[in-house]
Formats: sequence, C-alpha cells, structure tokens
Amino acid sequence: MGPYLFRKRDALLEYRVFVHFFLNGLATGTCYFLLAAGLNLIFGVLGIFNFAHGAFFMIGAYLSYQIIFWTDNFWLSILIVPLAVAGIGIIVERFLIRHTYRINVNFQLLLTFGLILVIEDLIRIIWGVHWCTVQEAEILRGVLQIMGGAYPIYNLFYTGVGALVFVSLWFFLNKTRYGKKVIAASSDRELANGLGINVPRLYTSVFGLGCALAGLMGVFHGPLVNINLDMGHHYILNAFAVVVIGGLGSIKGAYISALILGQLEAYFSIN
Amino acid sequence: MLEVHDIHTYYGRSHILQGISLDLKQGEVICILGRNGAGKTTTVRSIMGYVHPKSGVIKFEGKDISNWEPFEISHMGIGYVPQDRRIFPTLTVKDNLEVIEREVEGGWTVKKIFETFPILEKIKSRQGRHLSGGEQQILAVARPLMTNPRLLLLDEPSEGLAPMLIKMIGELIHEITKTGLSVLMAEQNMRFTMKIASRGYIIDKGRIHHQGGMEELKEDKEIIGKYLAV
Repeated sequence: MGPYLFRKRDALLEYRVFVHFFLNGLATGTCYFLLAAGLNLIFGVLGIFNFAHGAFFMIGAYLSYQIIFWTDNFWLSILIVPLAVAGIGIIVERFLIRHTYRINVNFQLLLTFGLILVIEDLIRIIWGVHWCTVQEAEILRGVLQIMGGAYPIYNLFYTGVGALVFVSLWFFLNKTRYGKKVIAASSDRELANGLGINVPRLYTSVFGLGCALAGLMGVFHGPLVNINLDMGHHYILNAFAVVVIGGLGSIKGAYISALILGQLEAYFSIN
Repeated sequence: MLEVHDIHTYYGRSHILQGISLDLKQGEVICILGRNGAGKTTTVRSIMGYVHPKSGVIKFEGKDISNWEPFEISHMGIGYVPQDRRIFPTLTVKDNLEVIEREVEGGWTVKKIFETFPILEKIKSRQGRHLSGGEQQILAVARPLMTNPRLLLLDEPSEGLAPMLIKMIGELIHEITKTGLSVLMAEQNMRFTMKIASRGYIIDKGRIHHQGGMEELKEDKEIIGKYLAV
C-alpha cells in the first residue's frame, strides 16, 4: 500500500477498506490467540516445551471434519472435539511427557517433536494426504453488509469466540480456586507439593485443558482454511512468539499481543 | 506419633544422613539443633517426602511414610514450613491461605487464622512478593495450618529475621502449640527453641550426638560449644 491521495468521492471507499482490514486483523489475531491460549497454559504456566501443540490443533481440525462428515452437525463437533483432544493430551502427558520433568529439557523438545511426526503419520494413514474441507453451521454462513461492503459473518463469529475464550480463561485462572492452585504450582512446584496440592495430577489436567483449547481451535478454524497436514507447522511458531511476547503465563498479555500481531499482519503483510 | 528409625539419606552419592533416629509423641514440641550443614534440613525433608531415605523407616501414626510423595504426607496430617519461607509470589496473602485449605469441622479457617495472626488480615490483599521478611515468615507459619495438620514441621523458622521478629515468631509458635499441635523444629538458634520446645536432639555431620530435655541441654556448655555455632 503506497501513499494515497484521498479524493472526496473515494473517501468512504477507503474508510470501508480500513474497517474491513481492521476486522480481518481481529480475526487473524484471534487465530494467533486461540493456539497461544492453550500453549500459554502448557508452556507459559507449566513450563512444558510442547512443540506438538500445533499437532493437537490439527487433530482437532481433522476430528471435526470427521464428525461433521458423519453428522453434518457443526455444534456437535464443538462439544466432542475438545473433550477428545483433551483425552489424548491427558494420556500423552501421563505416560510420556511426565517422565521428562526431572531431566534435561532437551528431552522434552525431542519427545514433543517426535510426537508431531507420529501424529502426522497417523493422520495421514487415517485421512490420507488430500485436503479436507469443512463448512460451518448454516446459521453462520453468508455475509453482513458493513459500510457498504460484504463481510463474512463467520469471521465475526470467530473473533467473538476468541474474546469469549479469553474472558473465560482469564476468569478461570485468576478467580477460581483451581486456577490459583495452578498459579501456585507453577510458581513453586515443590512447595505446592508439600502443602498438599496434588501437583502431578494438576499438571495432567492443565495439560489436558491446553490440548482441549487446541482442539477447540481446530473446530473453529476448520471452515476458514483447507484442513491439511501442514496446519500445525503453520501456526506453532507464531503461537510460541505470542506466548513469549505477552509474558509467560499471562493470558491478558497473550490476547493483547495476538491482536496486535493480527493487526500488523492485516495492514502490512505482503502475501 | 512420629518415629524415625535409623534413616540413611543420600543426595546423589553424598551420604548426608547417617543413621538418624528420633521420635515424637503426640502433643510434644521437640527440636533438632545443629549448625549449618549438619543435616537438619535434610532430616525435615526426608520426613516430608521430598527425598526418600535409602534405608531406615519413617512412621507417622503407625503408617510407613518413608516413600510417600510430599502431597500424600501433607494429606496424612503433617504441615510444612520450609526454610526461606517461600511464599507464592503472585498470589495475595488471602489466596496463599485459601489455596491450601482443607476443611475440617472446628478446625482452622481463614477467619480463624486472621484472628490468631491479626497482621495477616491487615495485609490480606497484598501480593506475596511485596511482603517484608517478617510478614512472610508469619504467613509461612500460618499457611500449613490451613490443612489442619496434627504435626507441624518447621525448618529454621528464625533464620534471617531481626531479633524482635524472632521473639514474635517464637511467641506465635508457642501460641499454636497450645491447641495441642505437635511440633518438630529444625533450628540453629538454641535460645529461640528454649521457650517453645521441651526436648531436643543435637545433630552434627548427619548423626545425632545427644538428646535430652531442653533444660539439661542448655546447661551443657561443652555440647553447645562443640555442636552449635555460637
């Protein structure tokens, strides 16, 4: 976008473009945030280097494709997929990742990277290499007229979902007893253990929650893109960046930095 | 209530505890005295399950807890006040207490803690990292009470505190023991323990060298000179 000379009759058109860009930025920001939200719990709070987080997101997307393929019910997949991905995450944490806590963190990197390979292959075996496409629920299809231009309703819904996830997570971490236990255990794991908090079980459940969030993103993101085997890779680095920029463990920080990054990409990205 | 039989604890290959035995009856307040590096903290941590002895047995109320995890031992009824206080930094004073709460009929609640330790109520919304050393120590002592323990383990409660605060902490601990709580305290400062404990063990280089009532230990200048930093 080079410099513009605004002429009166084109002025409204330019404003509309900016508004649409802004809305796109919100949607892109939400996309970054959704993956970062779960990673914020797993990496920011628990300190687990989970490279496979993007792969869990991908499982969520493929599972939602399958459920919609069978039942044609978008809302049903919202219900089932996060639970399913959480279940997988809990098993992975309990039997694999838990063993890496007391040893060198490099093993965690290797393990989770290996997980990516295994997950991708399993998905390839089950669903094949072709792209899958998924459509959102009927009620969310179509466009809304914003400033005289058509804007997809689903983008707005997606942004709304992100805001809802943010508020719920923030409340959950900072205002509930369980959330405070998580904060306690993450700031001083040993002490929390000695004061009666079942730290191993807490880690498992938080990991499961993080994976549920990844799966949730898989459901909501599916209609926006072609579901393919590269999905995990595409977003995972951005997710780590958002978690770090926003401050490890800070859900507010993750949301704000995700939205800012989204806006930057909407206005300045060259692809 | 608590029986420690001849435990040997290692950190890696270092043989830290070389056959520690002690026992505590219900309602007693005892202390383990020794200088830095004698093995006091390791003894407390062994009892609390942070490090498991390679041989020997630790029994609490008849159950063998030698290899239990710390949170299981906490659930059994042992409260832990660690060295260096260790408050959860981003949680408020109130949250630090609530996070541990285990409700028992007629037992400790946040309200009761605030009544017994009024200072904590004044700072109840302050974050842990903004507390002074003395405030942190009071919170560190009060906090495990929320699990309604029957035995309280304290690791060097007077360390790093100004004399006036040491006196206050001593009085607070004495107050708590009046409720029938049993206490085991690891300390360097014998004078501090004099007013609170009835019996003491002298530990040095991982072994118990003497034990006896606080009065008789106090009189024995030789022991004090030999085993406790003056």
